[in-house]
Amino acid sequence: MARPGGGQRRTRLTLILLVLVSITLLTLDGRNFGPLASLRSGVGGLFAPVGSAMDSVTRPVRDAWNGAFSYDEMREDNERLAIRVEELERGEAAAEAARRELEQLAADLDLEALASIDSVVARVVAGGVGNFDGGLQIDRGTNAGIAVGMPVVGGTGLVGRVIQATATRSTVQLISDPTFSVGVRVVGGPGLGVVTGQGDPDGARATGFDNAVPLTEGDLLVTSGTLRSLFPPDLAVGRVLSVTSDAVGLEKEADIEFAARFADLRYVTVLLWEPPQ
Amino acid sequence: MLESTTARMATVLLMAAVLQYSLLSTIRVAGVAPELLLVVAIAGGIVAGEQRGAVTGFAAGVAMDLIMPGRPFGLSVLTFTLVGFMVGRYQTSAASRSRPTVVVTAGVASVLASGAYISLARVFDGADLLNGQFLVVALVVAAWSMVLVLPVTAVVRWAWRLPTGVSAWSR
Repeated sequence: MARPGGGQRRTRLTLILLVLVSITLLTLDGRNFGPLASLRSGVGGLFAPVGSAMDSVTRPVRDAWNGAFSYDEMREDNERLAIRVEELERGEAAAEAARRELEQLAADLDLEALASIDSVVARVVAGGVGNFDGGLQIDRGTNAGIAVGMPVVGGTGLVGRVIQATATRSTVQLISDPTFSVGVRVVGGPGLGVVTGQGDPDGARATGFDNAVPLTEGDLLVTSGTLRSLFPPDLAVGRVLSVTSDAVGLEKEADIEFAARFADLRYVTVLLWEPPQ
Repeated sequence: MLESTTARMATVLLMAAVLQYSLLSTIRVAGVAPELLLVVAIAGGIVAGEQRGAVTGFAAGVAMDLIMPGRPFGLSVLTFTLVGFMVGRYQTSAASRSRPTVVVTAGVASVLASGAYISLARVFDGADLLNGQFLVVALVVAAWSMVLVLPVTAVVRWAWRLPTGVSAWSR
Protein backbone atom coordinates (compact mmCIF):
# COMPACT_ATOMS: atom_id res chain seq x y z
CA MET A 1 0.00 0.00 0.00
CA ALA A 2 1.35 3.43 -0.96
CA ARG A 3 2.15 5.68 1.94
CA PRO A 4 0.31 9.01 2.08
CA GLY A 5 2.51 11.76 0.68
CA GLY A 6 4.64 9.30 -1.29
CA GLY A 7 3.62 10.92 -4.57
CA GLN A 8 4.54 14.37 -3.29
CA ARG A 9 7.93 13.10 -2.11
CA ARG A 10 8.62 11.46 -5.47
CA THR A 11 7.67 14.67 -7.28
CA ARG A 12 9.98 16.69 -5.07
CA LEU A 13 12.83 14.22 -5.59
CA THR A 14 12.31 14.31 -9.35
CA LEU A 15 12.45 18.11 -9.36
CA ILE A 16 15.59 18.19 -7.21
CA LEU A 17 17.26 15.60 -9.44
CA LEU A 18 16.41 17.51 -12.64
CA VAL A 19 17.59 20.82 -11.18
CA LEU A 20 20.86 19.23 -10.06
CA VAL A 21 21.41 17.74 -13.53
CA SER A 22 20.69 21.17 -15.07
CA ILE A 23 23.23 22.87 -12.81
CA THR A 24 25.75 20.12 -13.56
CA LEU A 25 25.27 20.74 -17.29
CA LEU A 26 25.78 24.48 -16.74
CA THR A 27 28.93 23.82 -14.74
CA LEU A 28 30.33 21.45 -17.34
CA ASP A 29 29.59 23.93 -20.12
CA GLY A 30 31.23 26.71 -18.13
CA ARG A 31 34.36 24.57 -17.95
CA ASN A 32 34.28 24.03 -21.74
CA PHE A 33 33.50 20.32 -21.40
CA GLY A 34 34.39 18.98 -24.86
CA PRO A 35 31.61 16.38 -25.36
CA LEU A 36 28.89 18.99 -24.74
CA ALA A 37 30.34 21.31 -27.39
CA SER A 38 30.69 18.36 -29.77
CA LEU A 39 27.09 17.33 -29.14
CA ARG A 40 25.86 20.84 -29.87
CA SER A 41 27.99 21.07 -32.98
CA GLY A 42 26.77 17.65 -34.15
CA VAL A 43 23.13 18.61 -33.68
CA GLY A 44 23.82 21.89 -35.49
CA GLY A 45 25.27 19.88 -38.37
CA LEU A 46 22.18 17.67 -38.52
CA PHE A 47 19.75 20.58 -38.38
CA ALA A 48 21.55 22.82 -40.89
CA PRO A 49 20.34 21.00 -44.06
CA VAL A 50 16.80 20.94 -42.69
CA GLY A 51 17.06 24.65 -41.99
CA SER A 52 18.35 25.36 -45.48
CA ALA A 53 15.60 23.28 -47.09
CA MET A 54 12.92 24.91 -44.94
CA ASP A 55 14.43 28.32 -45.76
CA SER A 56 13.94 27.70 -49.49
CA VAL A 57 10.41 26.38 -49.06
CA THR A 58 9.18 29.05 -46.69
CA ARG A 59 10.92 32.11 -48.07
CA PRO A 60 7.85 33.28 -50.06
CA VAL A 61 5.71 32.97 -46.93
CA ARG A 62 8.24 34.85 -44.81
CA ASP A 63 8.64 37.54 -47.45
CA ALA A 64 4.88 37.98 -47.45
CA TRP A 65 4.87 38.08 -43.62
CA ASN A 66 7.65 40.64 -43.54
CA GLY A 67 5.94 42.61 -46.27
CA ALA A 68 2.74 42.70 -44.23
CA PHE A 69 4.34 43.63 -40.90
CA SER A 70 7.36 45.65 -42.05
CA TYR A 71 6.14 47.37 -45.22
CA ASP A 72 6.81 50.93 -44.05
CA GLU A 73 10.17 49.95 -42.64
CA MET A 74 11.16 48.23 -45.90
CA ARG A 75 10.11 51.25 -47.97
CA GLU A 76 12.20 53.54 -45.77
CA ASP A 77 15.10 51.10 -46.08
CA ASN A 78 14.79 51.15 -49.87
CA GLU A 79 14.78 54.93 -50.02
CA ARG A 80 17.75 55.19 -47.69
CA LEU A 81 19.66 52.53 -49.61
CA ALA A 82 19.02 54.25 -52.95
CA ILE A 83 20.49 57.47 -51.54
CA ARG A 84 23.39 55.52 -50.08
CA VAL A 85 24.14 53.82 -53.42
CA GLU A 86 24.36 57.22 -55.10
CA GLU A 87 26.74 58.48 -52.42
CA LEU A 88 28.89 55.37 -52.70
CA GLU A 89 29.03 55.57 -56.48
CA ARG A 90 30.24 59.15 -56.22
CA GLY A 91 32.96 58.16 -53.78
CA GLU A 92 33.99 54.96 -55.57
CA ALA A 93 36.81 56.42 -57.63
CA ALA A 94 38.33 58.25 -54.69
CA ALA A 95 38.03 55.13 -52.52
CA GLU A 96 39.75 52.99 -55.13
CA ALA A 97 42.67 55.40 -55.28
CA ALA A 98 42.90 55.52 -51.51
CA ARG A 99 42.73 51.72 -51.28
CA ARG A 100 45.61 51.30 -53.71
CA GLU A 101 47.64 53.84 -51.80
CA LEU A 102 46.89 52.08 -48.50
CA GLU A 103 47.81 48.66 -49.93
CA GLN A 104 51.08 50.08 -51.16
CA LEU A 105 51.85 51.59 -47.75
CA ALA A 106 50.86 48.38 -45.94
CA ALA A 107 53.08 46.35 -48.24
CA ASP A 108 55.98 48.75 -47.69
CA LEU A 109 55.54 48.55 -43.91
CA ASP A 110 54.78 44.80 -43.93
CA LEU A 111 51.40 45.38 -42.24
CA GLU A 112 48.40 43.12 -42.55
CA ALA A 113 45.85 45.05 -44.61
CA LEU A 114 42.16 44.29 -44.29
CA ALA A 115 41.81 44.25 -48.06
CA SER A 116 44.25 41.35 -48.27
CA ILE A 117 42.11 39.09 -46.04
CA ASP A 118 39.97 36.63 -48.00
CA SER A 119 36.28 36.85 -47.25
CA VAL A 120 32.95 35.13 -47.89
CA VAL A 121 29.67 36.96 -48.36
CA ALA A 122 26.74 35.22 -46.65
CA ARG A 123 23.02 35.86 -46.45
CA VAL A 124 21.39 36.32 -43.06
CA VAL A 125 18.72 33.61 -42.94
CA ALA A 126 17.46 34.11 -39.40
CA GLY A 127 18.06 35.87 -36.14
CA GLY A 128 18.97 33.77 -33.17
CA VAL A 129 17.14 30.49 -32.63
CA GLY A 130 15.65 31.97 -29.46
CA ASN A 131 15.09 35.52 -28.30
CA PHE A 132 17.92 35.76 -25.79
CA ASP A 133 20.85 34.20 -27.64
CA GLY A 134 22.08 37.45 -29.20
CA GLY A 135 22.99 35.91 -32.52
CA LEU A 136 22.03 35.38 -36.11
CA GLN A 137 22.28 32.56 -38.60
CA ILE A 138 23.96 32.84 -42.01
CA ASP A 139 23.76 30.54 -45.01
CA ARG A 140 27.48 29.74 -45.37
CA GLY A 141 29.53 27.32 -43.31
CA THR A 142 32.67 25.23 -43.28
CA ASN A 143 32.15 24.31 -46.96
CA ALA A 144 32.91 27.96 -47.73
CA GLY A 145 35.96 28.01 -45.45
CA ILE A 146 34.25 29.51 -42.41
CA ALA A 147 35.48 28.44 -38.97
CA VAL A 148 34.60 29.26 -35.38
CA GLY A 149 36.13 32.54 -34.21
CA MET A 150 36.19 34.30 -37.58
CA PRO A 151 35.13 37.97 -37.55
CA VAL A 152 31.94 39.03 -39.32
CA VAL A 153 31.45 42.50 -40.76
CA GLY A 154 28.40 44.14 -42.22
CA GLY A 155 29.15 46.88 -44.71
CA THR A 156 30.16 49.64 -42.35
CA GLY A 157 31.50 47.84 -39.33
CA LEU A 158 32.09 44.84 -37.12
CA VAL A 159 28.98 42.70 -36.62
CA GLY A 160 30.35 39.89 -34.46
CA ARG A 161 32.13 36.58 -34.66
CA VAL A 162 31.29 33.03 -35.70
CA ILE A 163 30.48 30.84 -32.68
CA GLN A 164 29.28 27.72 -34.49
CA ALA A 165 29.95 26.55 -38.03
CA THR A 166 28.37 23.57 -39.76
CA ALA A 167 28.86 22.57 -43.39
CA THR A 168 26.22 24.92 -44.78
CA ARG A 169 25.28 27.26 -41.93
CA SER A 170 26.96 29.30 -39.25
CA THR A 171 25.84 31.09 -36.13
CA VAL A 172 27.20 34.55 -35.42
CA GLN A 173 27.36 36.11 -31.96
CA LEU A 174 26.57 39.80 -32.31
CA ILE A 175 28.79 42.55 -30.92
CA SER A 176 25.73 43.77 -28.98
CA ASP A 177 25.60 40.57 -26.91
CA PRO A 178 26.41 41.23 -23.22
CA THR A 179 29.06 38.49 -23.25
CA PHE A 180 30.88 39.98 -26.26
CA SER A 181 33.99 42.12 -25.74
CA VAL A 182 36.45 43.54 -28.23
CA GLY A 183 39.64 45.56 -27.77
CA VAL A 184 39.50 48.91 -29.57
CA ARG A 185 41.69 51.91 -30.30
CA VAL A 186 40.82 55.48 -31.18
CA VAL A 187 41.52 56.32 -34.82
CA GLY A 188 44.22 58.96 -34.96
CA GLY A 189 45.04 58.71 -31.26
CA PRO A 190 46.85 56.56 -28.73
CA GLY A 191 43.79 55.49 -26.69
CA LEU A 192 43.10 51.80 -26.12
CA GLY A 193 39.93 50.45 -24.53
CA VAL A 194 37.38 47.64 -24.52
CA VAL A 195 33.88 47.67 -25.98
CA THR A 196 31.39 45.35 -24.26
CA GLY A 197 27.89 44.63 -25.56
CA GLN A 198 24.92 45.76 -23.49
CA GLY A 199 22.14 43.88 -25.30
CA ASP A 200 21.30 47.11 -27.14
CA PRO A 201 21.34 46.67 -30.94
CA ASP A 202 22.30 50.31 -31.49
CA GLY A 203 25.25 50.82 -29.20
CA ALA A 204 27.42 49.75 -26.30
CA ARG A 205 29.82 51.02 -23.66
CA ALA A 206 33.54 51.44 -24.18
CA THR A 207 35.68 51.38 -21.04
CA GLY A 208 39.30 51.32 -19.93
CA PHE A 209 40.66 54.39 -21.73
CA ASP A 210 43.51 56.08 -19.92
CA ASN A 211 42.33 59.37 -18.46
CA ALA A 212 45.29 61.15 -20.02
CA VAL A 213 44.49 60.25 -23.63
CA PRO A 214 42.14 62.41 -25.68
CA LEU A 215 38.72 60.88 -26.34
CA THR A 216 35.94 63.07 -27.66
CA GLU A 217 32.46 62.82 -29.07
CA GLY A 218 32.53 61.68 -32.70
CA ASP A 219 35.79 59.72 -32.43
CA LEU A 220 35.81 56.50 -34.41
CA LEU A 221 36.80 53.31 -32.55
CA VAL A 222 38.31 50.42 -34.51
CA THR A 223 39.55 46.99 -33.49
CA SER A 224 42.95 47.34 -31.86
CA GLY A 225 44.50 44.23 -33.43
CA THR A 226 46.96 44.00 -30.59
CA LEU A 227 48.93 40.83 -29.95
CA ARG A 228 46.63 37.80 -29.50
CA SER A 229 43.60 39.94 -30.37
CA LEU A 230 40.55 37.98 -31.51
CA PHE A 231 40.13 40.40 -34.42
CA PRO A 232 42.34 41.85 -37.14
CA PRO A 233 43.14 45.57 -36.75
CA ASP A 234 41.11 48.48 -38.10
CA LEU A 235 37.61 47.02 -38.30
CA ALA A 236 35.23 49.88 -37.49
CA VAL A 237 33.39 49.18 -34.23
CA GLY A 238 31.55 52.40 -33.48
CA ARG A 239 31.54 56.12 -32.95
CA VAL A 240 31.73 57.86 -29.57
CA LEU A 241 28.48 59.54 -28.50
CA SER A 242 29.52 60.81 -25.06
CA VAL A 243 32.49 60.53 -22.71
CA THR A 244 32.53 60.26 -18.91
CA SER A 245 35.10 59.46 -16.25
CA ASP A 246 34.79 56.35 -14.11
CA ALA A 247 33.91 56.60 -10.40
CA VAL A 248 37.52 57.08 -9.25
CA GLY A 249 38.56 59.34 -12.12
CA LEU A 250 41.31 57.06 -13.42
CA GLU A 251 39.75 55.94 -16.65
CA LYS A 252 37.47 57.34 -19.31
CA GLU A 253 34.35 55.55 -20.47
CA ALA A 254 32.22 56.25 -23.51
CA ASP A 255 28.81 55.42 -24.88
CA ILE A 256 29.19 54.45 -28.51
CA GLU A 257 26.94 53.95 -31.51
CA PHE A 258 27.79 50.83 -33.52
CA ALA A 259 29.20 51.33 -37.00
CA ALA A 260 27.14 48.38 -38.25
CA ARG A 261 23.36 48.74 -38.38
CA PHE A 262 21.84 45.45 -37.26
CA ALA A 263 18.34 46.37 -38.35
CA ASP A 264 19.47 46.50 -41.98
CA LEU A 265 21.49 43.32 -42.06
CA ARG A 266 20.55 41.19 -45.06
CA TYR A 267 24.08 40.14 -46.01
CA VAL A 268 27.30 39.99 -44.02
CA THR A 269 30.92 39.32 -44.87
CA VAL A 270 32.89 36.70 -42.98
CA LEU A 271 36.61 37.45 -42.94
CA LEU A 272 38.51 34.18 -43.36
CA TRP A 273 40.89 35.24 -40.62
CA GLU A 274 41.62 33.19 -37.54
CA PRO A 275 43.04 34.63 -34.34
CA PRO A 276 46.66 33.70 -33.65
CA GLN A 277 46.96 30.66 -31.36
CA MET B 1 4.88 2.38 -33.95
CA LEU B 2 5.24 5.18 -31.37
CA GLU B 3 3.63 3.01 -28.70
CA SER B 4 5.86 4.13 -25.87
CA THR B 5 5.50 7.50 -24.17
CA THR B 6 9.23 8.11 -24.55
CA ALA B 7 9.09 7.62 -28.32
CA ARG B 8 6.08 9.90 -28.61
CA MET B 9 7.70 12.61 -26.49
CA ALA B 10 10.96 12.33 -28.44
CA THR B 11 9.02 12.74 -31.69
CA VAL B 12 7.19 15.80 -30.37
CA LEU B 13 10.43 17.39 -29.17
CA LEU B 14 12.24 16.64 -32.42
CA MET B 15 9.47 18.20 -34.48
CA ALA B 16 9.30 21.22 -32.17
CA ALA B 17 13.09 21.69 -32.35
CA VAL B 18 13.09 21.46 -36.16
CA LEU B 19 10.24 23.97 -36.39
CA GLN B 20 11.91 26.34 -33.93
CA TYR B 21 15.29 26.16 -35.69
CA SER B 22 14.12 26.40 -39.26
CA LEU B 23 10.82 28.25 -39.34
CA LEU B 24 9.72 29.94 -36.14
CA SER B 25 13.05 31.68 -35.54
CA THR B 26 12.47 33.53 -38.82
CA ILE B 27 8.89 34.62 -38.12
CA ARG B 28 9.14 37.63 -35.86
CA VAL B 29 6.82 40.31 -34.59
CA ALA B 30 8.64 43.37 -33.22
CA GLY B 31 11.81 41.31 -33.63
CA VAL B 32 10.54 38.58 -31.31
CA ALA B 33 10.10 34.95 -32.36
CA PRO B 34 7.81 32.33 -30.81
CA GLU B 35 9.43 29.96 -28.30
CA LEU B 36 7.79 26.67 -29.24
CA LEU B 37 9.87 24.51 -26.91
CA LEU B 38 8.92 26.75 -24.00
CA VAL B 39 5.28 26.23 -24.95
CA VAL B 40 5.89 22.46 -24.92
CA ALA B 41 7.24 22.77 -21.36
CA ILE B 42 4.22 24.83 -20.29
CA ALA B 43 1.84 22.39 -21.99
CA GLY B 44 3.55 19.51 -20.15
CA GLY B 45 2.70 21.14 -16.83
CA ILE B 46 -0.84 21.96 -17.92
CA VAL B 47 -1.82 18.49 -19.08
CA ALA B 48 0.30 16.20 -16.92
CA GLY B 49 0.88 17.95 -13.59
CA GLU B 50 4.00 19.04 -11.77
CA GLN B 51 6.19 15.91 -11.98
CA ARG B 52 5.63 15.20 -15.67
CA GLY B 53 5.65 18.94 -16.31
CA ALA B 54 9.15 19.16 -14.88
CA VAL B 55 10.27 16.16 -16.96
CA THR B 56 8.73 17.64 -20.13
CA GLY B 57 10.37 20.98 -19.35
CA PHE B 58 13.73 19.33 -18.80
CA ALA B 59 13.55 17.48 -22.13
CA ALA B 60 12.33 20.59 -23.99
CA GLY B 61 15.15 22.60 -22.42
CA VAL B 62 17.74 20.08 -23.56
CA ALA B 63 16.35 20.33 -27.10
CA MET B 64 16.44 24.14 -26.95
CA ASP B 65 19.99 24.30 -25.63
CA LEU B 66 21.16 21.86 -28.29
CA ILE B 67 19.97 24.09 -31.12
CA MET B 68 20.91 27.44 -29.51
CA PRO B 69 24.69 27.76 -29.30
CA GLY B 70 24.82 31.35 -28.06
CA ARG B 71 24.12 30.64 -24.38
CA PRO B 72 25.48 28.14 -21.85
CA PHE B 73 24.17 24.60 -22.12
CA GLY B 74 21.76 24.06 -19.25
CA LEU B 75 20.22 27.54 -19.04
CA SER B 76 17.07 26.60 -20.96
CA VAL B 77 17.09 23.18 -19.27
CA LEU B 78 16.93 24.73 -15.82
CA THR B 79 14.42 27.42 -16.80
CA PHE B 80 12.02 25.08 -18.62
CA THR B 81 12.22 22.46 -15.83
CA LEU B 82 11.17 25.04 -13.26
CA VAL B 83 8.45 26.44 -15.54
CA GLY B 84 7.01 22.97 -16.28
CA PHE B 85 6.95 22.19 -12.57
CA MET B 86 5.40 25.51 -11.52
CA VAL B 87 2.71 25.38 -14.20
CA GLY B 88 1.93 21.78 -13.22
CA ARG B 89 1.65 22.74 -9.56
CA TYR B 90 -0.66 25.64 -10.41
CA GLN B 91 -2.82 23.49 -12.69
CA THR B 92 -3.10 20.77 -10.07
CA SER B 93 -4.50 23.24 -7.54
CA ALA B 94 -6.49 25.42 -9.94
CA ALA B 95 -10.26 25.21 -9.76
CA SER B 96 -10.73 25.56 -13.49
CA ARG B 97 -8.88 24.18 -16.49
CA SER B 98 -10.98 25.81 -19.18
CA ARG B 99 -9.42 26.90 -22.46
CA PRO B 100 -9.28 30.60 -21.46
CA THR B 101 -7.54 29.63 -18.22
CA VAL B 102 -5.00 27.57 -20.13
CA VAL B 103 -4.32 30.44 -22.55
CA VAL B 104 -3.84 32.95 -19.73
CA THR B 105 -1.65 30.47 -17.84
CA ALA B 106 0.58 30.13 -20.90
CA GLY B 107 0.94 33.91 -21.15
CA VAL B 108 1.80 34.41 -17.50
CA ALA B 109 4.16 31.42 -17.46
CA SER B 110 5.98 32.78 -20.52
CA VAL B 111 6.58 36.14 -18.87
CA LEU B 112 7.87 34.38 -15.75
CA ALA B 113 10.05 32.11 -17.91
CA SER B 114 11.62 35.11 -19.65
CA GLY B 115 12.34 36.68 -16.27
CA ALA B 116 13.77 33.45 -14.91
CA TYR B 117 15.94 32.99 -18.00
CA ILE B 118 17.60 36.40 -17.80
CA SER B 119 18.06 36.03 -14.03
CA LEU B 120 19.76 32.65 -14.46
CA ALA B 121 21.82 34.02 -17.37
CA ARG B 122 23.09 36.71 -14.99
CA VAL B 123 24.09 34.08 -12.42
CA PHE B 124 25.57 31.40 -14.68
CA ASP B 125 26.78 33.37 -17.72
CA GLY B 126 27.49 36.80 -16.26
CA ALA B 127 25.29 38.17 -19.05
CA ASP B 128 23.11 41.14 -18.23
CA LEU B 129 20.20 40.60 -20.61
CA LEU B 130 17.93 43.04 -18.81
CA ASN B 131 17.60 46.09 -21.03
CA GLY B 132 14.91 48.29 -22.50
CA GLN B 133 13.88 45.55 -24.91
CA PHE B 134 13.18 42.96 -22.22
CA LEU B 135 9.58 43.93 -21.56
CA VAL B 136 8.78 43.89 -25.27
CA VAL B 137 10.42 40.49 -25.69
CA ALA B 138 8.65 39.02 -22.66
CA LEU B 139 5.23 40.32 -23.70
CA VAL B 140 5.51 39.27 -27.34
CA VAL B 141 6.80 35.81 -26.35
CA ALA B 142 3.79 35.58 -24.03
CA ALA B 143 1.44 36.54 -26.85
CA TRP B 144 2.99 33.91 -29.12
CA SER B 145 2.64 31.31 -26.36
CA MET B 146 -1.02 32.16 -25.87
CA VAL B 147 -1.59 31.60 -29.59
CA LEU B 148 0.29 28.29 -29.69
CA VAL B 149 -0.63 26.69 -26.38
CA LEU B 150 -3.94 25.00 -27.28
CA PRO B 151 -2.67 22.99 -30.28
CA VAL B 152 0.60 22.23 -28.48
CA THR B 153 -1.34 21.07 -25.43
CA ALA B 154 -3.24 18.60 -27.61
CA VAL B 155 0.02 17.23 -28.99
CA VAL B 156 1.63 16.92 -25.55
CA ARG B 157 -1.53 15.22 -24.28
CA TRP B 158 -1.08 12.67 -27.07
CA ALA B 159 2.58 12.23 -26.12
CA TRP B 160 1.71 11.55 -22.48
CA ARG B 161 -1.16 9.22 -23.53
CA LEU B 162 -3.77 11.32 -21.77
CA PRO B 163 -7.44 11.68 -22.80
CA THR B 164 -7.96 14.07 -25.67
CA GLY B 165 -10.99 15.86 -27.04
CA VAL B 166 -13.63 18.02 -25.40
CA SER B 167 -13.66 16.03 -22.15
CA ALA B 168 -10.05 16.99 -21.54
CA TRP B 169 -11.11 20.59 -20.91
CA SER B 170 -14.11 20.11 -18.68
CA ARG B 171 -13.47 20.25 -15.00
